[in-house]
Amino acid sequence: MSSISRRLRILVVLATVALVTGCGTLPQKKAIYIDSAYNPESVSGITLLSPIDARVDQTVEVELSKQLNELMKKILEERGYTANVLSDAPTGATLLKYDLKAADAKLIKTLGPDDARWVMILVLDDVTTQLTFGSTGNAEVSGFMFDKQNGTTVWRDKGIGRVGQGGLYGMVIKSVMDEKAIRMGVFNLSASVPLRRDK
Amino acid sequence: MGANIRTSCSITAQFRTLFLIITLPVLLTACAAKPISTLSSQEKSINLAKDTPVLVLTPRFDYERLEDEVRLEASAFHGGLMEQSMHRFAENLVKSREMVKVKAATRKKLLDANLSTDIRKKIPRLVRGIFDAESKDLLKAMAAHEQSMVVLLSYVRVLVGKRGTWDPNSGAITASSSRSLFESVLVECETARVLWRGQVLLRDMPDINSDRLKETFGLLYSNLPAKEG
Repeated sequence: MSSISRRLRILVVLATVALVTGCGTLPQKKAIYIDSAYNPESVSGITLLSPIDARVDQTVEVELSKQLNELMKKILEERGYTANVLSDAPTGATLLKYDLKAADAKLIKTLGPDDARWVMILVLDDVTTQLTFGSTGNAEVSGFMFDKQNGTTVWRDKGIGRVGQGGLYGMVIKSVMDEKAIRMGVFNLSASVPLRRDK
Repeated sequence: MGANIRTSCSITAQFRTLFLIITLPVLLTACAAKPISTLSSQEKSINLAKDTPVLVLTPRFDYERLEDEVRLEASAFHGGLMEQSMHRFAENLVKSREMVKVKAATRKKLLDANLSTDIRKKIPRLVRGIFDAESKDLLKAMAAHEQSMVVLLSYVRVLVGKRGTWDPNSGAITASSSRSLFESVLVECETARVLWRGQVLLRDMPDINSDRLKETFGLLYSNLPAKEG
């Protein structure tokens, strides 16, 4: 009897440990692309350059720097990196997502300030909200990280945000659906940035 | 006391049933309905000289998974049929507007020289008005086959996302995330000058059996330059 009770106690302790560990773990997923030689510990600091608004439908008003870069900065810090936002970085407006996807060393070396080695650019691909019997919000955010010193792409991924609430309450909160969707998209995107253990 | 509890439970159950009867069909309809909204932008265009030959190149449909932009097999979505349908639509439109089509012999020569095939590979960039040196050379080579020829290039990029959902326990809903961008451009082959450009965003997957597909084509080409005079 006491043996069963002891086993039960061990099981409860193990379950609690698993739960606590699970809750404390930062989300992780596989990136679309990650350089096999990428070592998070060697990254001293990431500079977030001006985000690119690649939306065809620009009816939803978005504060790109605040909603994408400021949030990503916080997430990167949680993941062990030092990050700084450069809103007026001399890039962004003239670049297309296509250029970033096909970026060569020549282009990569021109991105951002000369003293920055690791630069990240976020792209807002789409954001939309919809009113039904409730409301929904969808957002797509892409991210690119480059190593300017070597002229290489080290990380590329995409995050999707899908939120919504049915019923009258959902209809009332439609105005915040785009914000929630973008937030979820950025969180989803950041989940593939490798964790940095050594701060 | 027991009777009171039973009555109370019965009222709660009745209320729940009534609530479900009212909200369930509405919610299901909302989730099942295809969320479609279109956005069209057309750049200001000029009229074409009446003898300008127009080549309508077979449009290109590309399918990608929304989450990671991995290319999907177009045949799984009737991509070939869509291309044919859009091609027919554009050709009929050119005919109905009394524009001159390029000669059949020219079409054959372009095919034989692989020019149509090569330019089609570059459609995704050309519809955005991005012309590299190679594209310009290809267009120039096409122009050599028939004087003052213009070409109509069309491209559809379909991002295949997840369907809408509804969780009856939490009331959370999500909308379908698929979207398609229809783009078209009319280019003067000799100079690679863009004469007209149209764009339509469809927040859905194109459906070969739906009338909405033809509506979308119509919207895309609605402002295509007319023949002068």
